[in-house]
Amino acid sequence: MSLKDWVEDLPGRLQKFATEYFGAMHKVGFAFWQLPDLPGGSNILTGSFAGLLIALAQAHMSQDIRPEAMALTIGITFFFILLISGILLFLDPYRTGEDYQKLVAVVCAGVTLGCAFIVLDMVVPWIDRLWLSIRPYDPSSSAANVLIAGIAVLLVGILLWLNTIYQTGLRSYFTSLRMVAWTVAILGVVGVGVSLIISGAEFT
Amino acid sequence: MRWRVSCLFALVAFVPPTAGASENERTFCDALGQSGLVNTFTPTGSIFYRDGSQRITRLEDGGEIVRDVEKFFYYIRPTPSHAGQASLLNIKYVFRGAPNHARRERVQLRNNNWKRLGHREAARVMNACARLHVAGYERFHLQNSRNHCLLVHFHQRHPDFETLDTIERRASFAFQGMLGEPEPSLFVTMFRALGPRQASADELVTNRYSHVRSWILNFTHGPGAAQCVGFDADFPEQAQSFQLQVTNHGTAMSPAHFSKSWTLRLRP
Repeated sequence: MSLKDWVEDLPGRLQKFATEYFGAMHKVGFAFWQLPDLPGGSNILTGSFAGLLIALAQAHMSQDIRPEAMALTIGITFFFILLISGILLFLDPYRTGEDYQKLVAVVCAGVTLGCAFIVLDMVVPWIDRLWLSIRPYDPSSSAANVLIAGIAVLLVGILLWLNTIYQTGLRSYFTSLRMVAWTVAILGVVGVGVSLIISGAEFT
Repeated sequence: MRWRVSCLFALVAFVPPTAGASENERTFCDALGQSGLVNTFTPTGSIFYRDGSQRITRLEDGGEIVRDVEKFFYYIRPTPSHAGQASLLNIKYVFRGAPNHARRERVQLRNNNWKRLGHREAARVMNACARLHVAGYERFHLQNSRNHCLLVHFHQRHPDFETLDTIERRASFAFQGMLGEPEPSLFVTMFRALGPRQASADELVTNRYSHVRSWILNFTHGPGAAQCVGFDADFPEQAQSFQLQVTNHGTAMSPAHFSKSWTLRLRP
């Protein structure tokens, strides 16, 4: 293929990639094995979206956003969520070859949504209100940050759960032990990710 | 590990801003009145200190100062109506040193209300507030970002003197121009990450605690004609010069705030 043909073909290929990518991603839920096959490079795009939202969430939580600190925080976060996802998938007897890619896509989407709920505080302030309302209980700053991560993950869980129900149906959700187990596992991994992100300064 | 060590140093370094008792301030103010450096027309906002020979000296912007100064005294001439009213100073230090020490680190926070807490509780608050980066501190005050330590521990709410009640008052706690160039935006930072790091010859000095400080100093206006509010000098070893800014937040009844800055070289 000549360069001219490649350039002429580029918009069509980009459109095909976008159609396949967003067609698969709008079905993101806890039943990651039911996702359509993702186009090549899609996890790089999902990770980039996550990276952008992570940086915005860190800036909003008064974290250090110098390039070296952000690279370390994002690197550690991705390392942990990819490692934990791999270990969890290894324990799943029903896993197939494509599942890791799909699980990573779901976890990245979960972390992105979790960060989006934190960034949403710029428009609808909820973090300061929550911290001031729990002030009488005198939590530590770490506990206060974990609470923020917990609430963000709870909201992510509701969104992903609703989408899962929409895709699979309520009955098949509750009759599948695998799906319920992965609901807990995915929310746990996303929770670890969001907690690491908003407490990033502690290890930079 | 690093933050644990920094917390330990922060705890060791925890000397309340008004370490000297109010009697010391009164004694200093009496001596200041006798020195002839102040008179009935001297306005609020001058700073005085005792130099190496224990002589009372006025802090002059652009001058030089010896390193063994222990305390500065902020001179206030209250009106009779201010007597008994709570007031607040925000004291900001930025120390500068040789470029080979250049690293922007964390901001050292203190609030003299922490003295009211028990030793264990004060240690816990110091611990929680020991990991805040200068850029995060600036974003909290100028861009309304979130930080638990600043919101719950450092800043004050009713019935104490409110420090976050207006946007202007919140912004007055930021260092802004004191840090040299403004903190870059998130997007500029992300683009800079792609290129080589730009060295700056005038970055901030690192000391083992912190080189950038923001202290809140609560005090009550006395009945006298003049008042001196003392706070620690405590220069880091590597610092070659520093900028000090004191913002007087007035009283709850007359809440206007005004700032004054001094930039001085430290005599080697």
